Parts: sequence; C-alpha cells; structure tokens
Amino acid sequence: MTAEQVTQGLRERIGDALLESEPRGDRRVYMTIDPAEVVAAADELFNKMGGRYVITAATDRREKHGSFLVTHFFSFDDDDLYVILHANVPEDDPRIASITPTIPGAGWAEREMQDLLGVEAVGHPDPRRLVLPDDWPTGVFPLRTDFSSQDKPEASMEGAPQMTAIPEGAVVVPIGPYFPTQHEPESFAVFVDGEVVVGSDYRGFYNHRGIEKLGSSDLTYNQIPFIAERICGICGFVHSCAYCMAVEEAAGIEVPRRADYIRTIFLELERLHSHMLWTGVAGHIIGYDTLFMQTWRMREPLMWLAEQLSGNRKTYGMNIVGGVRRDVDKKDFPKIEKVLADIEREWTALQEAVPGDRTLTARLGNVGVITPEEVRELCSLGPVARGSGDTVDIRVDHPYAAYDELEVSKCVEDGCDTLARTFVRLRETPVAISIIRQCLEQMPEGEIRAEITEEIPPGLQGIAAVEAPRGESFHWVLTGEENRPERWRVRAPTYSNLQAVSTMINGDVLADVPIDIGSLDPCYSCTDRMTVIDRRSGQMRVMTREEMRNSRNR
Amino acid sequence: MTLQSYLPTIGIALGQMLLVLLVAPLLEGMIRKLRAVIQSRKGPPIWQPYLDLMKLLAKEDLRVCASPIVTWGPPVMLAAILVAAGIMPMGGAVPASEVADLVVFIGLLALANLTLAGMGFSTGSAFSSLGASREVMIMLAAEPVLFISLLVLAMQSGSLTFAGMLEAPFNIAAVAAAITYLLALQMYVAKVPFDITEAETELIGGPLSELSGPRLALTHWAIFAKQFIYSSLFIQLFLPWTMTVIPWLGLAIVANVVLVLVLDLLVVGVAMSVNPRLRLDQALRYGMTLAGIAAVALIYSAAL
Repeated sequence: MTAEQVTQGLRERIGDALLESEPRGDRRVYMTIDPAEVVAAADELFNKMGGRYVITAATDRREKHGSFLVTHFFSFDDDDLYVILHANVPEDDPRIASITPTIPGAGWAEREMQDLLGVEAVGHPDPRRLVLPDDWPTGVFPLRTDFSSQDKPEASMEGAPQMTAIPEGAVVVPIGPYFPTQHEPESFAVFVDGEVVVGSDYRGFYNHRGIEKLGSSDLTYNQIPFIAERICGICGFVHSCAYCMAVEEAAGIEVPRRADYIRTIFLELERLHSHMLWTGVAGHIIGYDTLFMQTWRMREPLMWLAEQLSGNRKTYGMNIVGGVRRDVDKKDFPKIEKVLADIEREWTALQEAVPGDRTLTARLGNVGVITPEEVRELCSLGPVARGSGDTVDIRVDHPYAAYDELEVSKCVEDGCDTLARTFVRLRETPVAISIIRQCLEQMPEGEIRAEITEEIPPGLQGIAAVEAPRGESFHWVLTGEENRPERWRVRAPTYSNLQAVSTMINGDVLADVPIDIGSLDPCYSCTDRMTVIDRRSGQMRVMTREEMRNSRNR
Repeated sequence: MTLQSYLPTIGIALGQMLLVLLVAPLLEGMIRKLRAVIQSRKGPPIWQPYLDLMKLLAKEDLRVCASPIVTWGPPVMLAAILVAAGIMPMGGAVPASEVADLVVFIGLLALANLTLAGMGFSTGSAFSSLGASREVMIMLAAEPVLFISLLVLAMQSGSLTFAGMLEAPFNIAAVAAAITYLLALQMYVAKVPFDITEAETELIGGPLSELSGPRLALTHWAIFAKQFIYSSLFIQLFLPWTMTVIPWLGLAIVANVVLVLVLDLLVVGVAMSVNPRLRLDQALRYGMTLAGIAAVALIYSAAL
C-alpha cells in the first residue's frame, strides 16, 4: 500500500467524507475525515487494506478551533507507511462513533479518550472507566486545556469499582494490586473454576502520572525528554528517543548521523539488559531462581558499561531534541567489545540449554496461547506478536535512527505460546549484540546534535515509532505555542499487549497465569504514565532523599 | 512387661525426636547455602533457619480466624512429624521399631499433610484454599509411591514393622523401590520443582500465607523436620548396611545425620536449584508414573 493507494481506497469507500489527504514523503499520510464516517474508514484501513491499528489520541482544540481532534493511527508495516486519520468533533457535541466493535484492540484507547477528554465513543462495548480512579468526580476531564496540571478535584463518593460479571461457580483470585511477581501495582481479577481460568478483569492505571498533561502544560520541548525517559524504569530510553524523533520530524530538524548511531547503540544496550532482566524474572515466576540469579549476574556488567558511557546505569539522560548530549568516545570501544563478548559467550550457552531443559519447556510450552488472528485483532506487539508468527519489527519495517544502514534480523517464532515468546527474546539478544558491533564499526565522525536556532512553529505534527524490547513504542507530537507541544501522545507497547491477557489466560490453570502475564514482559508504569499522591490529603509530593533514607532505616 | 522395661524405648524415641527437632533447621540452612553457591550468591549463614524460627516464635500470636484447625494445626503437625521421627529407625533397628509399623508411620505423615491442608481450607483466603487443595492432590500422588515402595520391603521381609523391613533382602525389586523412593523424595519434601502447595510466586505461600508468628514457626519447623525424616528413612531402609557396619548406636545415629545431610544436599539441594516449579497436572503425572514403577517392583517381589 502506498500513500496514493490508501487515499484512493478511502476515497472510494467514504467519498467526500475524506476531507483532506496530505502525504508527507513516502512514509506518512495525514488525512482528515468527517467524524460520521470514522467507522467506515477504520474498517477500510484495518479489515480491507490490512493495516495495523496503532492507537487513538484525542486533543482539546476548543480554544482555537472550536472542536476536539480525534486521531486514529494506522500502520502498513510492509510498506513503511503510517496513516494518520484525523476527525474534528464539535465541542458542543463531543461524541464520535466507537471503532472498537470493528477493531477490538482500540478498546482501551477509546476508554482513555472518554476518561481524560470527555469525548464519548458511542457504541463502545465496554465503556467503563479505564484510567481515572473510581472516586474521580464525573464530568471532570484532566486532559482538557481548562483543567490545570495543578488542579485537585474533590473526591466523589458516588463511584464504585465496576467489575465484569463473575461466571457462575467461579472464585475470584486477586492478582494485585500488590502481588509478588508483578513488580508494579496492577490488578487482575482472575475468575477460576477449580484451578482453571474461566475469565478475568483488569484494573490498572494506579500509576497514572499525568506525564502527557505535563508535556502539554508545564514543560518545554527540551525538558520533556528527561520526563519521557522516566515513563519506564526499564526501557525509558525508548521513550525519550521516540519523543525527540517525533519533534524532530515535526520541525524538520536534521539529526547528525553520529547522533543516530549513538541512539542506536543505547537502544540496543537497553534491549540487551531488558531481555536479560526478563529472562531472570520469568525464571523467578516459575520458581527457577537459579536462572534468575545467573541472568542478572550476566546483566550487571552491562549496567556498569551504560554507567561508564552515559553516566547512569539505567536512565541515561542522553537524548535531547536534535541529537544526543554525550559522545561515545573511541577509547571506550574496547570496553564495550569486551562486555559484549562476555555476554555473548554466556548467553549462547544459555540459549542452547533452554530448548533441552524439559521441565522448563513443559512449564512454558502450550500455555498463554494467542493465535495470529487474535494478535491482529488485539493489535499485540513485539515479542508477543513475533511469538505468534507476526513479523512486525519496527527496526526493519519503519527504520529510524541508524537502523536503515544496519543489518537487523527479525526473530519470529510460530509457537504462539509462552515458550515461543521466550525464544524470541532469547534470540533477539545476540542480534542486539551484533547491531551494537555494527554501530561501532560504521559510526561516522561528526557532530552529535543539531543546532536549533529558530523556535518550533505551532501546528506541526510528527510521529515516531521505536521498537522497544516489548514492542512498538509510539509517540505523536502536535507542536504548540510557548515552546511546548500542544499535544504529546505516548503509547507504550504494554498498553496494547495487556489487552490480550484475558485471551491468553483463558482455559489455562491458575499456576500458568503469573508466567502468562509475565510473558508479555509487562510494564505497567509505561502504560499508566504517574507523582506520589497522598490519598488522605490529596497532596501531590515527591519523596525527598531524607525521607527515603529514614524509611530504609526504620 | 513392666513400665521400666519400656524406659529405653521411650528414651531412644525421645532422643530421636529431639535430634530431628534440633538438626532439621541446620539441614535447611545447608540446602539454602548450597543453592546460593549454585546461584553465584553468598547466601545466608547456615544457621539462619534457627534465627528465623526464633524470630517468628518471639512474635505476637495473630490468628486470622478462630478455627480450631488454625489454632491447633501447627502444633499437631509438628507433633505428628516428631512422633514419626521417634518410632522410625535412625541408627539401625531401635526398640520402638519392633512395635511401630509402616502403617502407623505413614498415617502420621499423612496426618501432618492433612493438617496443613486443613489449615489452608479453614482460613477462607483464596490463595490458602487453592494451596490446600493442591496439597491434597499432591498427597494423592506422592503417598502411593511412598507406600508401595516401602511395601516392597515389607513384602520381601514378611513384616510391616521397621525392624522386620531392615532385614529385607537386597535384590532387584528393592533396588527399583529405592530408585522410585529417591525420585519421589523431592515430592515428599515439597521443594522445587514440587513446591506446588506453597508456590510463592503463584499462591504467595499457599496454606502458609495466612499464618504468622509462632504458628508459622511451628509449621516451618514441621516442614524442616519432614525433610529430615524422609531422607533419613531412605538411608535406614534402603542402605541398611551403612548402619550395620557401625557397632555403636550413638555413632550410627551421628553417621545417619551426616548421610542425611549429604543425601539432601546432593538430591534435594541440587534438584531444587536446577529446575523450575512444575504445574500440578505435571507433578501428578510424575507421581503416578513412579507409583506405577513401584507397583511393578511390588508385583515382582511378590512373585519372588
């Protein structure tokens, strides 16, 4: 599908309701449609043309345009094309037809749109609250521009948790809000009959930090990369990278090639430590603590290496709009080679041992099954999709940073189960090592960031997608005034993958549920995007260093 | 017989109980240490389980429910295991093993397991109840292996008492029984890959999850003791020559302790370090396969 073919197809389907279609290069096409035809357009793009649904964003543009902007994003991965479908919803009737009946994977995004902007998705099969807490007053929408990031509405006593109906004879087993193997707050209510899972419900977003809100109300373009990196405690670099690339695309900033290579090196270092972390955590979940301890031992030199290169073990703080802040010095190359060689040697041994470990394969095989059809419907990403035969890998399909000059092999398995997802991650680790080696070899000399002299004008758009260790991280930036975006939308891969959990665990036994959920490599904070809130006073505050020290000594 | 003639029997039984009580935490500590070494960790000192028990015993006694099973469960469980320890041979034949037989012994161990399951069922927590029902299922798979493999010895010696079984001839059937017993040892002691009842990462401790303080300490202690006596029984019944070569009972008991430590480290410690936890259905299949092998050995020994 080229941009012209997509435009042509949509014009045939919805005619004049396609108000505008503006290709930008070969890789993006921005369209504006009449909101009345949104379902038809979504159906055409998703079902007829075979596009992949990415995310939905809503923007409050009442002040200047008298409307809400609802945007659905689609991707054609075989053709390196993203389709951006805008619809202007009038402010006096903020309603738009829900596309969830057509695309099940859009369920959460539309619920979020209802919660945060008050744009109703008419005909949504499950319109319950998703992001807002149960005691949030109705009719207050935090992402609207008339709601300040400092506003603290009175808690409402009307709301109550709404759980889906429990099947008859089933017992509810709570996995969360605090559960030993889920390292962040989340809450799965798993309905079990005996030990067999017959259904489940999810309540998350306990960690909603309002990062998108801060980005469009309090911060400036070059402050956001640092908070973007804090979206995730494991793959944060992915987010700062994607944010910067989206702004660069919007403003047409040319990033020096060397900066692209440095970003790529850090992205792959992050993938390495993330996959090693996951392998350990997965081992721990199924009671295999030796795997846990050993993979984390292997991983530690990688963290030291990152500290040597960037100054930090994990939250590198390297990205800035226009490039990176620190160069990777030639004198550090031998150290990088050494760490990679050590990891490669030990990892190869591990990778060879896993398929032969019969207890391990018995535990992981044939559980958490998700079929290729379900992957497509629920828009699953990353190792979840690639474990079920889907070939999407943003590094190859929509190359960014320096990936267009590098050889990246896709790791695809067709087992559709937890074991297949494990193999995908095991195999991706040596690929990441090879990518870093290629970077070291090919990295050109030169500047590491572009000089930005002029202010970024408002009303421009840019998108960026980065293949995080967990799948595609997607950012959309709509530039605004006062040196900050008007809207910045973040979609972490776990956001899509979590919606597949109930499909994956159905029919499995309870013993498989923790590892099924674990096999997503779930990252709840990424999904929740969250400040410490004192529930009693409703005060937002950040723990001081002193307090942390005291709480440790207590 | 007069009361006085029973005194040595009672004395030795009490001595064995005390020994198990005191040594079992050390066994656990050594297993933990070995596991740490395999995992490239330093690990806690080997006396850590004693400190854990002392700490828990000193804590406030909190109970989640008034059920008598929760109130009396932990002491009953520990008592059942200790009585079993008292009547079993621990350094070759002991007086009590002339009267106490296999059925009593297995009954006591089953009582301990059922008490644990009962505690899980009566707290009303989803995790506890699930753990309890798993405990019962595991018991149904593990007990037949235990019983049948020991029955092979009973069949060969024509006696259900331990003293009689010690005299059983060492032949192919006995070897098969010994192997099945050893393969099922990890199931009896409920360690990874068979820690399905507790399954910390699935059931946050199962039946133990609602226990705290002294009650948790007693339950832990009973579990440590159980680990000791299952290993000890293997050495006594399947390797009786290790005891008969030692002429003096006291020395034989010490040798038994050393052998138990070695066996537990080599089998239990290593197995739990190199395996993930099995699912219940997989564990049941494993148990039934072993029971099948033991049954073949039993039929063979009957034919002998």
